[in-house]
Amino acid sequence: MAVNHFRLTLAPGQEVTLPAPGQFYMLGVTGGTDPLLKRPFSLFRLGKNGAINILYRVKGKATQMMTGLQPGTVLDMLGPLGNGFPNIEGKRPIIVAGGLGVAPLTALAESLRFDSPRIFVGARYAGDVLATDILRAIDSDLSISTDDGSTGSQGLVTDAVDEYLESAGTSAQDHVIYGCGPRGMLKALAGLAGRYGVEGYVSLEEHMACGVGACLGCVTKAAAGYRRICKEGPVFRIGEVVL
Amino acid sequence: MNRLETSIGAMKLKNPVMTASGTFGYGEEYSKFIDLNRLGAVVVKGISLNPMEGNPVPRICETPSGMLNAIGLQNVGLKVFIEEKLPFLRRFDTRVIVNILGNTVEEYVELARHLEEAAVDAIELNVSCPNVKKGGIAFGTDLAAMGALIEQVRAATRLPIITKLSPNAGNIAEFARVAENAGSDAVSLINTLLGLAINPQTRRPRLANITGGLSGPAIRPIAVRMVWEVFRKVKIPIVGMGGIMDSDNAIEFILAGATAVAVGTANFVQPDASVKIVDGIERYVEENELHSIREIVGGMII
Repeated sequence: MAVNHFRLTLAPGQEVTLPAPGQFYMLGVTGGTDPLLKRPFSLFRLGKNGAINILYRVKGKATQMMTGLQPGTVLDMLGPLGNGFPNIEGKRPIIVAGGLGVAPLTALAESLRFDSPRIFVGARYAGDVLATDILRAIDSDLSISTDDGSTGSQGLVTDAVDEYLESAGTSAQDHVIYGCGPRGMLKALAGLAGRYGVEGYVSLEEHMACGVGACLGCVTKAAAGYRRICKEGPVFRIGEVVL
Repeated sequence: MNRLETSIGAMKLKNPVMTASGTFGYGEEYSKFIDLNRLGAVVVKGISLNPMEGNPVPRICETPSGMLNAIGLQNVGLKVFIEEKLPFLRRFDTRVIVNILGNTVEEYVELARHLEEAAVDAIELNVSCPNVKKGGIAFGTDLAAMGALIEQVRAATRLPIITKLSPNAGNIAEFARVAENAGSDAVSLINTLLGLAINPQTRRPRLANITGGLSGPAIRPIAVRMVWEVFRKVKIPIVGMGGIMDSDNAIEFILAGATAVAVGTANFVQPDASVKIVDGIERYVEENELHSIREIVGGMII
């Protein structure tokens, strides 16, 4: 894995519902009170026998502790939760991942591999570029952009998407955009979707306490009021929420 | 005979375990994880006359053995609650207690009247939310204002009234006494403790609201101490809460003087925390050969 990023494979201890790409799990790391709350992680890849793979970056105490987990450790996990990415028949997927946003989009790319998705990955620098081996096997034209040009082309991933849609001309509208990444990137993506008249979906993240719609902690602004990212999301149609 | 049975005023509860307002949505959110029939009562997210949007994000952050929240009382409002949320809860054999909040005495009174018509089991007066400038806390930090509010609501409804007290307002036992004298059937405590967390890298507060309410195991000893102080001052029942994670924690509150307990933050950590606590209290009652859980209310041995 790239710098400071890790994978974790969880084998369900009981029969479970298979997750859809974009859905997430609340994972209890300690079983103790510090850290207290479960942490949300989206499905990265589905393994053999229903094994759930997640991809995470060490950010705080909980993720730091996760790097020290020994094989065979039993963890408490709740899910799959939320709504995944919708499958839009007859449209070519454009998958746009910023940084760790690549996690749920890898699951999506794998499920849409026969729809010839175009995949665009953006990151700050080479050390944050993840899962390229998997994604290149799905889209041999995989586009990589970094802020500093340390790998791929230097610039914003959304500029690469812009270029692609521009070159698609009138067939731009035969695509559907799926995005996950920083808010700035998603905002730019929504701008492109509007400009080219392309339908699109984005997955959002926010601090969560419960993951099931009760605490109202993880909301995001919509045209009127707030939507719960854990319940009405984490995937929203572009235009449904304020980015 | 049900040895877990208890009562808050005239309201009988099949067991002393409730959910804390704001941590259990409108019940529906948790109904696919637990059997709501097993709970003594469900206390729903605070309801105001009109819908409230709540605060900007981030609304929550984790702190050592606890969390800060500043949700800002986001709720669907009275009308939607009665039409769309209450019918679902009514399908279960559990008491429905509605937490209410308003900007004026008149708003509380109107809420109480409508909820009595809607045949809920009890109301909990929220006079202690620390996360909004208006409403609630304005009554909870002023003894006279709180007393007057309770008297007005008392005159307007026959529903059992539980007054939820703030730990941020000074001597909580004094507030409990005023609530009792004003006609409250019970008091519930504690609401969250006002807190602040700052990100050292960005130098910004971790919550958009700057301050938030601290809950979770971190506040438990304070909550237990306050229940004990209130228990010595009033005769009305106490609903104890603050960082209850398991049945031992619940028993602790009961020994300090709580007639019932509310499970809050633990719901976020384990969706089935509340029913596991019912199971644990049941075991405790058996192991200690109690005829009723009521035997040990305030039973701390000094």
